[in-house]
Amino acid sequence: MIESIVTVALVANVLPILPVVLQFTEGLSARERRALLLRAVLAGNLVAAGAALGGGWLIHTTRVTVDDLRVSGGIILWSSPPSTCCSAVSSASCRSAR
Amino acid sequence: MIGEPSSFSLVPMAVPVLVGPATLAIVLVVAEDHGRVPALVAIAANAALNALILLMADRVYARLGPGFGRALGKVLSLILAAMAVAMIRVGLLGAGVGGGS
Repeated sequence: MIESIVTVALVANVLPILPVVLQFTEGLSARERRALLLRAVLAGNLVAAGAALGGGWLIHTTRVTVDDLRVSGGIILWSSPPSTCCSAVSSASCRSAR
Repeated sequence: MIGEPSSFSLVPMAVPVLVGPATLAIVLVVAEDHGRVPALVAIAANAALNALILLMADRVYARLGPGFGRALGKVLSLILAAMAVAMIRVGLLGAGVGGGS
């Protein structure tokens, strides 16, 4: 259990993306920022929970083994360190969103 | 193009900034290795921690300084790269590639 929590927390750590979050929410009131962040955390983790619940069925249906998943997950993890997810979204699109 | 803050909180904020493909891959592996309940507990614990940090983002950032996120990102990159290598190694050995013990 602890191993699972630490593993997920290491990969989904938000500390490196704090500057991006602050840039995204710049200009919003405290109330709007709070609502947006809570919605984002809820939505993101619902997606993750969906993957945890339905992912097993999906990989078994597609005849993917856990070892295949490990290799593909390792490659994705290798190619997307914390800093790159920040640059994946341009600040221009964030400004236009508001 | 993103229209309103409600959709903006889902894309790009929730996915892929908060929960990206690497997180989803890890969640799948954790769910397969340890079971769904530990994976869901890990997701819930992580969501609570992330919400706490994000709600205090400006205070946390002001206290830690602009360089901290970059430095932490470097350290985390090292740990995550090691985790990635371990996942690939175990996956390849499990699939019978390499044949070593």
